[in-house]
Amino acid sequence: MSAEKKDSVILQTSDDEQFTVEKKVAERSAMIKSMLEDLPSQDSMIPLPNVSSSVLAKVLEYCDHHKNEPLPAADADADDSRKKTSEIGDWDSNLSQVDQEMLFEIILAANYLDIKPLLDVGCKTVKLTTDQSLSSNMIKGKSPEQIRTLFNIQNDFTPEEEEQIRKENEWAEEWVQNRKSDGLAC
Amino acid sequence: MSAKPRTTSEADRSRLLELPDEILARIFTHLDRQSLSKCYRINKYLNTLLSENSTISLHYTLMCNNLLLNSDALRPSIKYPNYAPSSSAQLLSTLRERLTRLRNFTPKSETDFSLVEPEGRLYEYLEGHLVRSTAGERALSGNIAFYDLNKLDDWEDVEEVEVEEMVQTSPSTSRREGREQPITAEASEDSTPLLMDDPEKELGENIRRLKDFGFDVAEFAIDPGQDLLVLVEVKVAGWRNNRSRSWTMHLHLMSLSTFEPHPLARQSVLDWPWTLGRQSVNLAFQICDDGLYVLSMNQSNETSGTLCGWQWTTGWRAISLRSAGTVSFESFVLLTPTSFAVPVVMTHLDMTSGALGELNNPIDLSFTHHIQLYAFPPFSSTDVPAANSSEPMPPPRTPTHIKTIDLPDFYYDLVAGIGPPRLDIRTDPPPRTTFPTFQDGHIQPFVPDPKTGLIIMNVTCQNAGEFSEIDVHFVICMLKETLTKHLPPPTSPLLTKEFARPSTVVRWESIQDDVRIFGPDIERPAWVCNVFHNRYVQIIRTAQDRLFMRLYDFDPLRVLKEIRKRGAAFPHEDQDQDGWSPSGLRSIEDDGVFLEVREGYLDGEVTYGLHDVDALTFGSKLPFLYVDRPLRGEIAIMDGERIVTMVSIACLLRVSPSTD
Repeated sequence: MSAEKKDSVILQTSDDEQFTVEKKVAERSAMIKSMLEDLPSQDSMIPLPNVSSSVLAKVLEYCDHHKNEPLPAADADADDSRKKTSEIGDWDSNLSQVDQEMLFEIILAANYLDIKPLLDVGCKTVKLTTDQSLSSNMIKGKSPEQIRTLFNIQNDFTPEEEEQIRKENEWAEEWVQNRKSDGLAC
Repeated sequence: MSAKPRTTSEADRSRLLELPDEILARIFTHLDRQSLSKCYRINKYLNTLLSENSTISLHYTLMCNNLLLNSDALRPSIKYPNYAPSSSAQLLSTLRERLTRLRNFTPKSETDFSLVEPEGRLYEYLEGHLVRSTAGERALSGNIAFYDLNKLDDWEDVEEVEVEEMVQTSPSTSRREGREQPITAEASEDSTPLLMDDPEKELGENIRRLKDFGFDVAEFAIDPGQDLLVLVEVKVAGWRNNRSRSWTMHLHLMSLSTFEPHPLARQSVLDWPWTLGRQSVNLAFQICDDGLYVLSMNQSNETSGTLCGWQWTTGWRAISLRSAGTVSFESFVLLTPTSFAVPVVMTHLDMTSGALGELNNPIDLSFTHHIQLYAFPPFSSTDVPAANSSEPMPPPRTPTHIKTIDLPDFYYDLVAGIGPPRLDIRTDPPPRTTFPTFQDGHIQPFVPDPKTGLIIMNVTCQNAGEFSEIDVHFVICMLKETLTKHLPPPTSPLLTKEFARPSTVVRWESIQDDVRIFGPDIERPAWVCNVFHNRYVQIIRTAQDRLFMRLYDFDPLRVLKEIRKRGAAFPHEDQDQDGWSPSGLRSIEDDGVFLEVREGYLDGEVTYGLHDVDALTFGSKLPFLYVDRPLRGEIAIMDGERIVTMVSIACLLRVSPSTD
C-alpha cells in the first residue's frame, strides 16, 4: 500500500477534482516533476489551479500514452527544424478530434505544466488538424476569410489596407518550390 | 504591439487570439510560407504580432530566402561553455543585415592578408575554410595550409548584433623575405608571426595553420560542418607487368580542427578499390552528411571516370560506378543525399564513314554534351554491421542512371586540333540534411535549404586558335530543382532494380527556359568556389581590360519579390510581346541592383563556340538579379557570409593540365 502511494501523486484541479496518477505519468510535466523533487515525499498532493478536470483528463491521457518514452532534454525546446514537418504521431492525432475550445485549453495546460512535446503537438494541430465542421486544415491552405470565420476573428482592415498587405506579400504566396516545368506559378 | 483584443461579448471572443503570444508564436512558426503570408492580412492585431514577434519574423524571413535555422545557434553549447546563444531578435537582425549587404554587395568590412605559400594546383574553399597545398604548381607536398576566415570576425562580437561579416578580403601571394619559415610539425595558432611589422602578414598568420602530414597529399577535401578533412595519398603498389608501375590510392579521414584521425570514422583510412595506372590523380569530391563521394577522372585509358561513395563513418563502400568507354565523366555534384549529376562528353563514331578501320581518323568522331542523373537508395536502407561485428560489409550498389539531359552542341574541330569543350559542375554547399556543428566556437546559424540552390557549369572550350581572339568559355546556370524534378523518390523500386533500364532523355528544348548561359567571352575562373546557395560571383573583363565583379542572385523568391516590387513581367506572361520585348527590361533601381527577366540569346555564328546552331534562346523562366562592383584581383570566391577576392595569382591562370 505504502509503496503504491509512493509511486503515485494526487493532482487537484481548478474544479476541486482529485486525480491519483502514477508518478511516472505525472512527471511528463516538467513543472510537476520539479515540484515533486522539492516536496517532502509524504505530501504529494499538487494543486493545479489553472487546469480544469476535463482538460487534465485529456492531458493525462497523453502523458499515460507517452510515459515510457525518454523525457526530452532540458534544452531540446525548439525541435530540429529539419524534423519540423507536419508529422503527428498516431495517437497524437486524436487531439484533432477535440473541439477548438478544448484544443486551446490543452495547449494552455501543456504550456502551464511545461509538457513541451504536447505543446508542440497542440500547436501543430492548430495548423493542421481536420476540423469536423469545415473538413480541411485549420490554417494551412485557407483563405484569410476562412481563418477569420474559423477562429472568430473580426477583420478590422479596410479593403484597401487588406489589398495593400496582400500585394506586399503576394510573391511569397505564389512561388511554389519544385514547380512543374510549365514555369513559375504565376 | 497593440493590446490583446479585449472581448466585449462571448460571441466576439477569438480563443485563438487570446492565447499568450509565445504560444501564438509556436503555432505560427509551424506554418509554411504561403499559409503564413496570408495571415498578415487577417486583422491588425495578428499583423502586428506577426510583424513584430522576432521568432515568427525570423521564421518567415528564413523561409522567404530558402534558409533553415540551425537551432544550435539558440542553445548553449556543452563543448563551448563560453558560447552565449543568440536570441531570435539577434539572429533576425543579423540575417536582415546580411541579406541587405549581399543584395547590394556592400561589405561591412574589408580585410586584407597575404597568403604566404606559392600558388598551387590544389585548393579548396567552403564556408570560411580555405585550404591550400604549399607545393607549387606541379609538385606535391605533405604541407597544407589552412586559413580559417571565420576567425576574422570573432563570434563573441555577436552580442553586438553586428555579426554581419560579408568581408571582402584580398590576400596576395606576394613573395616576401622570410617566407621560407621553418615548417612545424604541429600547427599552432599562437605561433609568433615572423613579421610583426607587417599587419597583413600578422593577420594571415593568426588565421593560418600549417601542417605537415608526412606524406605527399595528392588531393584533399573538407567539410567544416562535420570537422572533416579528407587527404588523398597515392602509394606505389608495385609493377603491373615488367614495364609499367601501378599505384594505390588511400583516403585519410582526419579532423579539420585537430588533424587527428576523425573521431566519428570507424576506419581512419579508406582504400580506393582499384589500382591506378599512373601516379597523378584528378579527383572531384562531395561530402554530404555521412556520405563521402569521390570521382576519379582520366586515370587510365580503360575508363573515363570512376565514382565511389562511402559511408565514411562506418567505412562501408556504398556505391560504385564506372563510366562506359565512350562516356567521359567530367565532374559531378550531389543533387540530394541520394542522387548526383554528372556532366559528360559522349564520343560517337560514325560507322558509315569511308574511313572505317582507321578508328583514329578524327572526321569519324563526333561529340555531344549531356548531364547524366544518377540516384541510389539511402544509406539507411542497408544494414551495416556494427563496428565489432565480424560480418562482412554489404557490397556496393551501382547507382541507377535516371535521366540524360541534353546540352547544346558546342564547337569542336578535331582536324584543326580543337577538341570538345570540357565541363565542370559546381554547387555549394552539398545538400546536407544535418546541420553544421560547432567549430572552434563558431556556428553557422543560417543554413541553405538542401532542396534549393544554384548549379553552375563551366564549359571550357579548347582554344579556337586563329578563329578566336579570346578563350571561349561559357557558364551554364540552373536551379537545382531543374534537375531534381526528374528524380524518383528515394524509396522508388527503380533504385533497387537488379538490371538497369535505359535512361530516358530530356531534350535541351525542354529545359532551355530554365537555364541561363553566359559567354562566350567571360573570364575563365581560376578557382571555382564561386557559387553558394542561390548566389554566384563572376569576374567580368571589360573592353578596356578592367575587371569587375558581378554578383548574381538566382533565388526564385527574392527575384520574384523584386519582379513584383518593380512591376516587371515575365516574358511568357506578356502576351503582346515576345521574349525580346523591352517590357520588363533590366531595370535599375537606385541601389544599383539590376533585374534581368528577358530571354537570353546566343547567336550560333557570332559565338562560334556553339556548334552549327542557328541561334540559342534560353532563360525565359529563370530571371535573376545582379549587381556589379569594382574588383581588386583576379579571383573571387564566396560563401553565405563573405566574398573573398585574390590578387596576383596570374601564374595560376596559365597552368595547363597535363593531358598525356
